[in-house]
Formats: sequence, structure tokens, C-alpha cells
Amino acid sequence: MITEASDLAADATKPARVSKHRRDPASRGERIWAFNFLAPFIVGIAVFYYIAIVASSYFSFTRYNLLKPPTWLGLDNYRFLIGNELFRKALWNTAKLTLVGVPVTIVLVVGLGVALNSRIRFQGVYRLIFFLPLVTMPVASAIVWRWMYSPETGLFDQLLGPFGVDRVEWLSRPGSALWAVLAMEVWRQSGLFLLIVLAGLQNIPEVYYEAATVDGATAWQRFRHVTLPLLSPSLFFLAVTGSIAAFQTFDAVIVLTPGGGPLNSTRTVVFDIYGSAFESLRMGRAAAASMLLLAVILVVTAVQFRMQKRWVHYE
Amino acid sequence: MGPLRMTTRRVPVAAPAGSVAAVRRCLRGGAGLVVRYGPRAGLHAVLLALAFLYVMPFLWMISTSLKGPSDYLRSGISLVPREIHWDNYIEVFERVPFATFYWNTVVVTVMRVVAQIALAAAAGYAFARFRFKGRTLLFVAVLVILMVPPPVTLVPNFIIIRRLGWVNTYTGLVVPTIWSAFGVFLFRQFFLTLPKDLIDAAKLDGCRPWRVFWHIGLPAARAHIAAFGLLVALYSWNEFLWSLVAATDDSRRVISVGIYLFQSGYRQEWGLMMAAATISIVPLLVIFAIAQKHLIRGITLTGLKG
Repeated sequence: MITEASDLAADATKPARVSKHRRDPASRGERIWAFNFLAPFIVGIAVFYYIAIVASSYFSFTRYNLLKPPTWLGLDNYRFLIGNELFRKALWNTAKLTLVGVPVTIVLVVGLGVALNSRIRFQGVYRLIFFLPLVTMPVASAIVWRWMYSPETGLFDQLLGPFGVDRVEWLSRPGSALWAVLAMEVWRQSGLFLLIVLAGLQNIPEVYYEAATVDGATAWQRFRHVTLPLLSPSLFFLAVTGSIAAFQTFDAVIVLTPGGGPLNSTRTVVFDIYGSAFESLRMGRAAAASMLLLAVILVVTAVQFRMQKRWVHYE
Repeated sequence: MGPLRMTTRRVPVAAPAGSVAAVRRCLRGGAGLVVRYGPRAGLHAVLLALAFLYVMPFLWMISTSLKGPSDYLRSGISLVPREIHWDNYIEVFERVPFATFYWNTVVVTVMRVVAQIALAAAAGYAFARFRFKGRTLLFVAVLVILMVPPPVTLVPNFIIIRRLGWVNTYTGLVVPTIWSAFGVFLFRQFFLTLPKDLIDAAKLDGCRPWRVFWHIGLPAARAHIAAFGLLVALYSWNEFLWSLVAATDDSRRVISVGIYLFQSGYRQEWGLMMAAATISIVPLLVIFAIAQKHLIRGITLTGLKG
């Protein structure tokens, strides 16, 4: 209020002179311009993020099927979800995809990255090949993988045929369906991970390797004591963003195993949200599941940031 | 490339004691070259095997898309079709309104790219170039949404667009998906590096901030705009979950949803499905081939898609 008034007063005098001798950066004109530049974006995130989340938490306490107005249920949706075997299964499957998928992808990609970063021939061709899945539509990839997993006539069964393995129902056995989804996700995500790792590797100054070599370090020692520590910020970034992505696994699941897999073995949290909201029209329950998903993501990210001191080295 | 190709290897052990320069020369491969066959060949073998695993789905897809049922249901792996069935590609367009899906995808992608660049560049410019009260707080409010992935807002955003009457419209498909905190962050970081003199000079010439942004800021950010635009295109073309719920009528469906429904309708017609998959990924593969550098730069700059 007070600043407004003083600004108005300042404007009343000659504005050009005022802006010259007053070093107050937040001049009225600048504020108006900032408002013009920012307003669309701020309104957008206010509606589609902030209001959306507030609305979602409201709906999570109600029963709402889009046709009748929401009715208040209190904590019933949350109680239902936490006690519900299907939802717990979905949480557990999502956790498995994250806890196994992300580390496997990171290990694979660090190996690939180190190999590609050494001055090897055909580097460009290899890179291009590993990046391909990154630009491929996930739904399209999943359709191709479903065909590869197809029993008997699919690629995997045909490749294993000569080894005496015949007809594996990859996607209809409770023991293998989730791992089949995971394998595709690793294939799909590794291109993105590889980019980040390669960028990280290129940022490591050559002198460190030279110094280590002069000191007689073996290849493994150079990797363990130069590459890994200096790459750790990139790996931390991958662990955080990779986990957030893994928590959202959906496209692969709904294409590979439309019903959520044998014995619900591939049902994920987002699959559950989609099913409750748009197949059973239980918006309230889906909103509650979304809030739980958000909570899990926030907690996991916070824990990762907490733990970063133990293993991430910043120069 | 044969496994016996001669490869050169840095061999630091042979470096003359003492001078660092000598060691460096040696490392660069200037002196003390020793020819080896072993390790590089092994590395290539591993890389080749992995590369094969990575391209196999693509080869398998293209090969099946050209096969007839009697061919792809035959046992024995053959990537070369017995006779080439181009008609799979034609039939896809006849069975489902694929051309409409295609057009819709192009429309929403163009809309998203333009909107995201405009919104993020303007907001990023404001955060970098204007001083105003609450700037830090607002910037934090923008960055916080990085922690909120799309599925979390799926249900409320659907309820919002339903209230607004945007279901089955381009607006409904596009508007909730164009708010990229990464974009704002990216452009802010860039505009912070713009020399202040440049902007002051323009101001002295009587340029209003809007014109400074338009004539100096944006042209300077060309490379960032290209990289970011490509990322948005990549995200938009492949997006599935939101499009699945926001458009339930064929007239507004996009490709990802189209092929999803197609494959659940014809669960065993692999030739057709692979043709559909091939058609849907080709445009991005072409763009990637042309603009690989920009795209890679964009991804390493922001670290994430979208």
C-alpha cells in the first residue's frame, strides 16, 4: 500500500528524472511490465496446478461420479484405498518398477556411456541407435513389444525356440508379466538416461584421468575414483527424475496387459487412477489415489535429497 | 568391421618419465602408439550385441508391417517378407480414421509448441530482466510444479475442462498441457546471460520492454527456442494419457490414442498394427535425424522431456 502510494507520488513528478536518481529497482513501470509478461503463465499454473490440486484434495473426500454433485465422505476414500488389496498391489508393483527399473537402467547406461565416451569407432552410429527408443511413441513401442512377447510366433519365443524353450506366455504369467513391462521400460528410458550420462562424462576434465594415470591407477581405479564421483551429480539427477517417471508408468502397462496383468501383477498406481476415474467414474476415489501418489513422490524425492550428501560429490 | 581391425590404444606406462607434456602427447596418441587387438574388439562385440537388441524392435516392426498373416504367423525368424504387403498401410487408413488422428496430432503439436515457447520465454524473461516485489516467491511457485507429474492433476483437470465445455476440443487437449516450469527455468537462465548494456541501449533508443523482448531477447534466444520447441514437439507427439481422457470422439483423437484403440480392437492382426505403429513414429524419427543436435542439446539443458 505504502509503496503504491509513493510510486504514484513519484509518477506525479517527472518520471524520467525520478528513475534516474532513485535506485529503487521496482519502479511502477517495471512492475506493470513484469505483470504483463508473467500473468498468462501464472494464471495457467494457478488453474491447472494449484487450483487443480486443491480441487483434487476436496474431491478426494467425496463421492463424485460427474453426474450428481459430490457428496461428502470424509476419509472413506483413503481408508478404502489403504485397506484395498488391489491398490496395495498397484503400489507395490509401482515400487518394484521404480526400485528395480531405475538402478538397472542407471548401471546399464553408465556402462554404455563409458564405452561410448572412450574414443571408439562408430561412436555416432551407436549413439544414434541407443537414442532411437527415446523418440519413439511409447504406445507404439508397447504395441511392438506386445508382438515380440506374443507366445510362439513372437520374436522372443522364436529366438528361444532353438534352445529348447517353447512357448513362454510372457505377458500372461504372473511371474513374468511385470518383468516384461520393466524390460520394455528400461529399453525405452535408457536413451534419455544415456544423454545425461554422456553430458556428465564430457564435463569431467581430462586432467584428472591424466593425473590418475600418471599415479599408476588401473582402468577400474580410474572409473571408481575419478569417473564415478565426478559423475555422481548426473546420477543423482537420474535417480530423482527417473523415479518420478517410473511412478507414472502407464502407457506400457495398458497396452501390454490391458486388464492390469495376470492376477493384477502389472497394475500400477496410475493405471488404478485411470481405471477408477474413467472406467468406474469414481472421481473421488481416483482423486484420493492421485493425492497419495503425489505424497509418495514428494516423500521419495525428499529422501533422495536427504541422502545425496552421502554419495553425491559436487566440485 | 572385423574384430581384427587394428586399434590404437593409449599406453601411458611407456611415457618418458618426467614431463607432463610428454605424457599428454602420449595420451593424445602422438607418441608411443602401441597396436592392440584385444579389448577394443571385445568392447565392440558387447556394443554391437546391445545395439542389435536396441534396433531389433524397429526392424521387427517394419518387417512385420510388410508381411501378410500367413507370413508373420509362420514359425522361423525372417526379417525379409516372402512377399511385400504394402496394402497393410492402406488398410490402416481404411479401418480407422487415421488421417484425422494424424491431422489432429499435427494441430495440437503446433499449438503446444507455439504456446509453450511464447509462455515460457515471456515468463523467463520477466524473471530474469524485471525486478518486482515477490519475484523470488513467484519463481519458487513455478519451480514447485516440477514435482507434480501429469497423472496427479489428471482427474481435477478433466473435471475443470468438463466444466468449461472443453472436452473433445483442441482447446481442451492443449491448454492444460502447456505450462512448463522447465521452459521458464531454461529461458530465465538464458536471459540472465544477456548483456545488460544491450538492453539498456535499446531502452535509451526508446524501446518499450515488449519491443526489447521481441527484437533483442527472442532473436538472441534462437538456439534455446529451437531446442525447447523440439522437446515440446517430442512430448506432444507421443503424449497419451491426457489425450486419452480429454478427447473421446474420433474427430478429436490423436495418433497415440488412435493406435491404442486400434490395437485393442484388432488384437491379432499384427501386420496392420505394425504398419500403424510405423506410420506413427516416422515423423519424429525424421525430425530427430534432421535436428539431432538441437534435440540432444535441449534434453541435456533441461534434463527432461516436456
